[in-house]
Amino acid sequence: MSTGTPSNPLTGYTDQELLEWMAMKDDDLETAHAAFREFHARFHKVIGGALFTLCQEYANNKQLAKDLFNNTFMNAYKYAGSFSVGMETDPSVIRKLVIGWLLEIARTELRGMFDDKRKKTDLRLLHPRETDTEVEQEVYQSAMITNARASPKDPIDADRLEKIKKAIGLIPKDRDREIFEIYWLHYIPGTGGKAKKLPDKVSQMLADKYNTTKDNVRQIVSRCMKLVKQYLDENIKKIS
Amino acid sequence: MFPYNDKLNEDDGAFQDDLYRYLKQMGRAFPDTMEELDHFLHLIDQKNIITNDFPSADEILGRGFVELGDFNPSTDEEIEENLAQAAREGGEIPSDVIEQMNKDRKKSEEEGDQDE
Repeated sequence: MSTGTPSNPLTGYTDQELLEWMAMKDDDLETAHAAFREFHARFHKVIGGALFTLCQEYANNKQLAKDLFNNTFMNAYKYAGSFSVGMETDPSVIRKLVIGWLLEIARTELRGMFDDKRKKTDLRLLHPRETDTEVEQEVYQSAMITNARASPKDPIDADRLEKIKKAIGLIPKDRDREIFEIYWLHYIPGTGGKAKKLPDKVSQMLADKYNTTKDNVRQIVSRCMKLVKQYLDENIKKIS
Repeated sequence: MFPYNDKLNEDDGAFQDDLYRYLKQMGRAFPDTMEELDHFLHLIDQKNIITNDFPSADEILGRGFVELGDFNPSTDEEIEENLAQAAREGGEIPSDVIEQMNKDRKKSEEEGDQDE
């Protein structure tokens, strides 16, 4: 694996400029490839580490992380022209925006794994992403804006994190833990009582995977949630 | 969860939002904001994960997109559990459970035919 590109003529260019070169692949393929190599060299460690961490609870996690890594960079190459930093000029902020963009691509890819329609059509075609161009570009653009939005300061409570880790560790079956993990992959905060519902197509994919039913998938999520809640109720200091 | 409120139901959005926030702090869910991204990057940095066997740039360009995941269906004894529970509680059996039962029965019969 290439961990650096000392002889790459594009080494001195900014992240944004590399993406611009990549976006011009139809005019100059050789330069676009050189830009991609340099881009990969700059981001492979952080994105590889991130995806390895995020995939650790999934079945076949190492291979999944590698495949997800592959598709994330492939999407970045294909949709390089959709990345924009607006008026931002600080290279360290731009780097973070690029990482946020790449992670959002990875999240979209991972969610797509449970999209029956995509799995049956796009992923098995020779050029799988042609039909998704507009939708995905829109997703990536909005994701970048989301990532650039600051959130209120949120203190880290190490003790609480440890207890949550233990609570999730109590989920007895690998299958249940994986379903619980996928639930969070699709979770949208602020959905109130509707939070429990996975998208229908995701429930169906999981039901197919485990040779069970959508209703049972929902029950598994519910049971996991109850287990975690019960452990936290018993082990965390409560409101008096 | 500051402080913890045990009066919330596990299906309550406030409880799940809090849990989701903690999962992001643990690196088990994707970061959504710049601040969460900062924390996540710090976490990754501390772990110092070796990614030398991840695909190189030329490997990615050479093979293009790959299919993610290969699911191996497993049998699920919990359908039986759910049915038993529904019977005990006098509840209605959901249509997708019945559909799955029919599929399983058919599959089992086919396998039985092949064995004979």
